[in-house]
Amino acid sequence: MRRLIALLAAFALGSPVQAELVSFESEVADPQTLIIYSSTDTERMLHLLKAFQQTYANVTIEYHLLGTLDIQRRATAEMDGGKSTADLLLSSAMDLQIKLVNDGYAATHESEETEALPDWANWRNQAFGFTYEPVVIIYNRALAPQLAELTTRFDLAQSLTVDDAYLRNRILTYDPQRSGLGFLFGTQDAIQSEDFWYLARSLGDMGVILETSSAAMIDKVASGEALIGYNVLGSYAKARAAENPDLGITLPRDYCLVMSRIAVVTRSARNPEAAGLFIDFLLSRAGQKLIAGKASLYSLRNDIQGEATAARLRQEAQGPLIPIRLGPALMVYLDKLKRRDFLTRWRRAMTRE
Amino acid sequence: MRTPHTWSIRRRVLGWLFAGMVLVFAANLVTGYYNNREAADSAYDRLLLASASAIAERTAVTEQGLWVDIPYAALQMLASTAQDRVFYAVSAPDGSVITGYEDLPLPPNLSTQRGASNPYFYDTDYKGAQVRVVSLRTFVVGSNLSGFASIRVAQTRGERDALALSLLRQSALWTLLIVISGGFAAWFGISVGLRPLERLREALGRRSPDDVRPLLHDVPKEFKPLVGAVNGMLLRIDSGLRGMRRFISDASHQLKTPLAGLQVQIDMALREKDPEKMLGSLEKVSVSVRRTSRLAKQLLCHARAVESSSSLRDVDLCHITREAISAMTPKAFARRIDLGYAGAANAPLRGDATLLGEMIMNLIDNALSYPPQGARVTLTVQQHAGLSLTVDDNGPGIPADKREEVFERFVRLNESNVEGCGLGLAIVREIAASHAAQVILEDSPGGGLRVRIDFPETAAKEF
Repeated sequence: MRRLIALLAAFALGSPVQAELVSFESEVADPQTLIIYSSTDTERMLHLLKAFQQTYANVTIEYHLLGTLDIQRRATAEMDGGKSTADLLLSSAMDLQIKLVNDGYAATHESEETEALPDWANWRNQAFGFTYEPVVIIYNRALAPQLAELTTRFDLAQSLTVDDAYLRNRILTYDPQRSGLGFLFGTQDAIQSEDFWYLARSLGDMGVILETSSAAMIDKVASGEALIGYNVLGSYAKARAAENPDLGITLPRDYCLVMSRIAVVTRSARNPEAAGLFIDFLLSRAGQKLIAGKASLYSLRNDIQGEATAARLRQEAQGPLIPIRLGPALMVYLDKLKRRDFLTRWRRAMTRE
Repeated sequence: MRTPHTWSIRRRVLGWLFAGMVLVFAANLVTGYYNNREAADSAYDRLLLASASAIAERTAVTEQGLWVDIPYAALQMLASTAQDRVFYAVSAPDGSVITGYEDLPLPPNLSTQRGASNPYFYDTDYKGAQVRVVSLRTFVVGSNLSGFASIRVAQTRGERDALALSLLRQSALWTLLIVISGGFAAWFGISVGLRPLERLREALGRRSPDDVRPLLHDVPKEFKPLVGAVNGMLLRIDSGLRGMRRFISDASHQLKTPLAGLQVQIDMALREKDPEKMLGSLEKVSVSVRRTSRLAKQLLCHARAVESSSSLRDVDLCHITREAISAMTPKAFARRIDLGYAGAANAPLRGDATLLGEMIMNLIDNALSYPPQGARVTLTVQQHAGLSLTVDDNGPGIPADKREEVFERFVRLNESNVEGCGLGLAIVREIAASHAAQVILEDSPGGGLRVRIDFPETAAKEF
C-alpha cells in the first residue's frame, strides 16, 4: 500500500496563504521524485495524482499547494538563485504562466498528446492548457429564481440599475486587486467589450462585495447570504450545484469566457521526464476522464462524455464560448502601467469617484 | 577502367556542366541564406514596427509624467505561428524605463539611435535567445516634459528563421531542378550537336579506298579544324599516290630497255658458233645483268625512301658512315681510289639506319663512279648546331647550272658511264628529305664535287 503522507506546513513567503505539502511516496527502492507547485486544491487533484502513481509506481510526487502569485515568485526566485525548484507548475493564473514561459523559465515538452491540443491551448510547446472551465454567473435559485433570466452582462447591468432594492449588498464578484484570477477575468472582459465598465459601474453602485475566491462566492450564494455572483469558476460551481440544487448556474449568452489551467515544465527541472509524463497523463483520455469526473474541472478533450466536459459545455452554452488564448497578448495586463490603469479605473467604477 | 582521355564528350561536358552547376548551387545557397534572412526580416520587421507604433500611439505625457497604455493588439499581433517570445520596454526621454522589460538591450550604437534611422532594427541576445528588436523614438510633449520617448519591441527569431529556412529550401529545390533539367538538355544537345560528325563518318565510310578527294561537307565550326586536317592528309596521300604511280611508270620504262637489250645480247650469244665469241657475248650479258639488278635494287630502295618516313630511332651517323665505307672499300680498292673517313667519333641522330646506310653507299658509289683512278674520296661527319655529312671527291665535279638536274630520276650527265643508272642522287634526296635534311652540291675545296647533307638541329639528338 502506498502511504499517503499529508504534511501541513506554513511557508514564510510573505504570503497570507498557507502553503500545503502532500507527498505521495513511491514504494519502490530508489524512486524518482516529481515536485509539483500547484494552485489547484489537493482534494481535486487527489484522484489524478493517485492514478498517475498507479501507472508510474516508481515516482514519488511532492504536491505543493501554493497561491498563483507564490508559484510564480517562488519558481522564478529559485531558478534565478540556482536552487532546486519544482519540476512542474500547475496554475490557473494563465497570464503569469505565460510570462514565465516568455521570460525563458520553461522547458519544451512535445508528445502526441501535446500535438493534439488546440492552438489556443498550447504555446511554444511550453505552456499547456489541460482544463476547459467556463466563467459563469451563479445565483440562488430558491431565493431569487428570476435571476435565471439575466443571461447577458447588459441584462445584469440593466437589472442592477432598475431593481436595486433586493440586490444591494447581496451581489458578489472577484476582487481584481487581491485575486490574480479575478484580475484575469476582469481584464479579459474589458478586452471583449467596453460594456464591461458599464457593468462594473453598476456593480459598484449596487455595493458589490469583492471576494478573493470562487469557493467563497459559491458558499455565500449557496447559503443565501448573497443572491448572485459574477465571474465565478464554472467548474467549482458545477461541483457544488450537484449537491445543492439551490445553486443556479448561468452561462452568459453574450459570451462565455473559458479559462484553462496551465501546466509548465520548469527550465531547471530535476526530473523533466516525469513532469512530461504527468502532462501527457493530464491530457490523456484517462487523465481527462478523471478531470471531467472526480475532479470536476471540465475536460478539454472532445472525446470525453459526461457533465463537466467541453462537449457538454458546447451543448449547454447559448452564446459563443471564448477560450482565453495562450500567447504573449496575455501579458498585456501584467504591464505595470496597464495594470495600474486598469485597477484605477476599477476602483473608480466601484466608488463612483 | 577508362582513363580520362577516353571519356566520352557527353561525359566530359556533363562533368564540367555539373561542376559549374555545383558552384552555382553552393553560391546560391550562401547568398540565399543571407537574402532570405533579410527578406524574412523585412517582412516581420513591419509587424514589429506596427506593434511599436501601436504602443507609441498610446504613449503620452500626463501630470504624473510619461504614461503608456500598452494596447492589447500590440502584443496580440505578434502572436505568430512559430509562437515567438515577445519583450518590450518603454523609456522616457531621460532614458529611464517606465514599463516593460527594464534590461532589454539598447541598440548597439547609441549614435545610430539618435541618427536618421528611426525606427532602428537590430539583433541581440536576450533571455537566452536571439531576438530582433525595433527601437522607435516618438516625440512626446506635455506641460512638464517634452522629448523623445523610446519604445523597444523585441521578438525571438523563431518564425523569421523558419521562414528564411523555408525560402531557402524552395530556392534550393528550384536550383536543383535547373541543374537536373540542364543536365538533360545537355545530354540531348550533345547528341544533336554530334550529328554532323556522324554524317561525316558515314560519308567517309562509303568512300572507295582510292577516293582521296577532299571533304566538302558543311560542318559546325568546332569540327572545321578536324576536317581541314583530314583534307590536308588526303592531299598528302593523293600526292604520294601520284608520285608512286609516276615512279612505277618510270621504273617499268627504265627496266624494259635493259631487259630488251639483254634479250638481244642473249639471242646473239645463242646464235654464235665460235665458242670464244660466245664467251665474249656472255660476259657482256653478265655485265648487263649486274647493271640491271643494281637498277632494280636502287628502284626498290628509292621506293622505300619515298614511302617511308616511318621508323625513326636513335642511331649514330658516324657508325653508319663507317659501315658504309667498309662495305664499299673493295670497290674502291678495285678502282684504286683512296676512300677515307674524317671527323667526329660519334654523331647521335633520330633516323632510319638502313635508309641512311643506303644513302651513304649511294653517295660513295656516285663518288667512286666519276673520278679517275687513283683519286681520293673523303667522308666527313661534323657536329655543329645540327649534323652534317660531306662527301668530297677530286673528280670532274658538276657544273653549277646542272646541279639541280642530277636529282631527277634517270638523268645521267655522262652518257658514257655504264655503271650509273641515274637514280643515285634522287634516292639520296628522298632519304634526306625523310630525315628533314637538305642535300647541297658545291665545289670541293680540293677541286671536284662536294655533296653536303645538313641534318637540322631537331634531328640531332643527345645520347
